[in-house]
Amino acid sequence: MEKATIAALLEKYWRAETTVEEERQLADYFRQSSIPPEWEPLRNVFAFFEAEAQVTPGKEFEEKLMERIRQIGDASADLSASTDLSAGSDLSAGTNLSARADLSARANLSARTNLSAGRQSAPPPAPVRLLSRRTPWWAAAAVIILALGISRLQGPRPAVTPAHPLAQTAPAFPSSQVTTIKDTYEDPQQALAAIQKALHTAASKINHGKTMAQKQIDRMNDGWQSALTN
Amino acid sequence: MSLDLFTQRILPMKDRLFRFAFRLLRNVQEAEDMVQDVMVRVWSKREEWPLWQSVEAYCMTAIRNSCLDRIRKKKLLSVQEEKALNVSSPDKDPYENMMNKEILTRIRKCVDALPENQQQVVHLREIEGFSYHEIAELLDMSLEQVKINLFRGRNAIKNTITKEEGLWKKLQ
Repeated sequence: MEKATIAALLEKYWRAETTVEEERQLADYFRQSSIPPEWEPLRNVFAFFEAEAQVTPGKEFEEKLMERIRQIGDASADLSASTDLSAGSDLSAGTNLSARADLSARANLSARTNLSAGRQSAPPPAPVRLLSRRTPWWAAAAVIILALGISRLQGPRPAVTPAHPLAQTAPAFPSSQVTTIKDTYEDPQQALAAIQKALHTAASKINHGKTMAQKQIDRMNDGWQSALTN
Repeated sequence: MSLDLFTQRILPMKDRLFRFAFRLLRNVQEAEDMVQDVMVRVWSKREEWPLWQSVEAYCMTAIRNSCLDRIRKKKLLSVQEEKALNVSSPDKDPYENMMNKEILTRIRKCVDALPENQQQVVHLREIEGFSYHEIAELLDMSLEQVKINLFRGRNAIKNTITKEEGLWKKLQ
């Protein structure tokens, strides 16, 4: 390209009047080897931008990200299949609490694995970060308090069946039936399964409470952010 | 399946998001964390994708807000890690041998020292090649403000490279 054309483009460039296409022409021009010596320093400017445009995250970044994405995908599919929670994907809606998706995913996955496979050991656990460095401690405390509060407000628990281990150890139970406690589960496998079922029920209640608390926190975060930006 | 869609349309944006996060935070680890958070958030909202006008604009805005939020929190805590700000990007300059390293360092320092708005506009224009209109939308500014910020940013760079060589007039 002619020097005069480039000079004219440069003039426009410094006035911030060039188009994206014209800037591309300039970048192409300064990439070639022979340019007038007085423009040499300018070559550095375009080279700097070009180098910056090649900066990428670390090599393992994509792998880690996709692992996390699949985990969340599994967790929400599992939630909607095994419980009546409709807001499975909302569990992972973005806030500072980066650990909640991992937690719920692990809770559900491990409960399900144990139920179906009896004493088979669960797959080796992936590292779970309970709190990220950015999570203030009170956020975690607030979630727990809200979750407990909401789950208490859910009203009376569904009636437990006589086979329920928690019900049988309740002190209000008539003493005439206490004798049956000893005989209920001779098979330890069965007892384990029942316990796990009870824990799973409790876990899903807590998850439900957590979801609702999460929604409120999201709303608070949104409001807070928009208040800051305005 | 939405996982395929994610891999095809959203995952490829990771480099661009990372660069913007890195421009704002000047810390590789923090920038990666931000990109991961934003991508996870986008994934968790996959049912809303069809309603979004532009997934890219959504992601860029989200990464900017997250980073600015992070910067604000850091300032509030007043534990600014001054040294972290000076971590330079991995040197992947293909023209390294041709270039004057000293001038490149000076340009980098100059861009890093630009006011926040100028820095973002310069980055989005010079490195990502966005139009004025796109920048205005992303940064929530008028077209005129975009142009002024770019003008000032470019002139700061121009001053940097001409300051010591006395080449100012030759570049006019």
